[in-house]
Amino acid sequence: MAKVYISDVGMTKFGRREESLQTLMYEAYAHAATARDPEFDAVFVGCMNPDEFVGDSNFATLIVDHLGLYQTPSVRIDNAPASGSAAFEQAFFSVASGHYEKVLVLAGEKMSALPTTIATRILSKLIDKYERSTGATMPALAALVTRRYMHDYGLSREELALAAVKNHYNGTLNPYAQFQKEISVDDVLKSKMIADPLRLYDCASISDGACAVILTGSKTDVKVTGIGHATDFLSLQYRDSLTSFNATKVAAKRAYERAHRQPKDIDVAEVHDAFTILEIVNPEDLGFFKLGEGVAALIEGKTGLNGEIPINPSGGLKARGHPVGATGLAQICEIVWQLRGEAGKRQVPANIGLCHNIGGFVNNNIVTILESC
Amino acid sequence: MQASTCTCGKIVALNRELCPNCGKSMTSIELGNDAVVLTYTTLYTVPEGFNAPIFLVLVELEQGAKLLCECKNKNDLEIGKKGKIVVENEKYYFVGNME
Repeated sequence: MAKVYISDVGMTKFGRREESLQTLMYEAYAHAATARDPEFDAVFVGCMNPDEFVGDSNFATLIVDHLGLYQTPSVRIDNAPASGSAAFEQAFFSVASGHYEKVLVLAGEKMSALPTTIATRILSKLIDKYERSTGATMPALAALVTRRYMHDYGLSREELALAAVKNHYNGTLNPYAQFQKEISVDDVLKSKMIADPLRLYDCASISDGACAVILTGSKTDVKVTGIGHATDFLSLQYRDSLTSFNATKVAAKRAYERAHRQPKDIDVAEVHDAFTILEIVNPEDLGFFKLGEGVAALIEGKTGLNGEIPINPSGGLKARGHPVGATGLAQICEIVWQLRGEAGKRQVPANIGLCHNIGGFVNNNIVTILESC
Repeated sequence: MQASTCTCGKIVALNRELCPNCGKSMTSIELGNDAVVLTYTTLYTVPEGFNAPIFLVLVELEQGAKLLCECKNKNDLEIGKKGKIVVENEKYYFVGNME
């Protein structure tokens, strides 16, 4: 298997953007590929649902056409909100196999053009058909998990809010973040109730944005050392545990094995905090803390910028924003900047970084390990 | 209460052809209507076509099968609350036992 490296990364600022999705993807591409030779063996486009969010299908062709990459092979990858990391994974395979030498990965979503109720309906289609017939939404399922975690491990409502407070602080240091304003525990507790006990500030936002990453078989200073991927039952009601997610545990185990690394080797991680409870559960499932100890780690600042394992220095999905298809690739961009010492005011010391991207309600998860070399 | 079992040990609520765990054919069985609340939420922001609020509960049925369903009475929203599953207009509802 050929070694796979990252040469360039780029992204747009996330948030409510007026531009079209293809214009956002061009902005990310130009950010990554400025002054480079714009010749690629293939383009992998991660995008969850352009058909419904922006009314375009055949999106892989639309993008190579828009970017002027005439005749370049292109494919769109939809893997729910793990589309960005899934496109990255498929691009990785194409270079690792030796079939391609240099490929472009683009990922993006434009969600804000539609009213929130319609966006919520589109996102609810990620849920099993029976379960969504009850009216269940993604925040509702996260609320069910949150309530059970609070019951089992004594997590308080105020402690949970600290996850949003921490990530909003990190967002103030990230020029690409949708939200660059600090919030308090009180702000979280006074925000609109969505699905009790989760409030608006516990949930990642509707957002627009795009990212670009160039993968190559030629050596650079950042190597992709392991990718792990696992699925779980579509229905929450089929799962044994409500407070720990098998798709994360298995994907992480596979990534660690391939990279010959252990959780203690990781210097920095971007994890999929679509809801505040996931900022606590994900680090436990990734092996950074024991089950039930993610809360203490958050309170004690172990996951802060100066902590032993900084989590979501970018601000995470919570503050950076969550244009669903873009998120996985935004995590890759952040870790590459951290490894290269290019993360500005949110820089942490790091040689080995991990990205954790969730598809569906924690049932199609991808863990990627990147290392300085 | 309909459920499906598999020789691998998996049991799930409602009818299902293939086991989600191992892919073998499942056997349809009938469980009693007893249920215990594992977790719950009151949903205020609902998808298009639903009326807020919705009381949602995830309950444990006999033999460890689980079911997500609605609940009509806010007072039944309590982890560990025992009750029954009733069917109305082909929808499942959890109703807590009287204290």
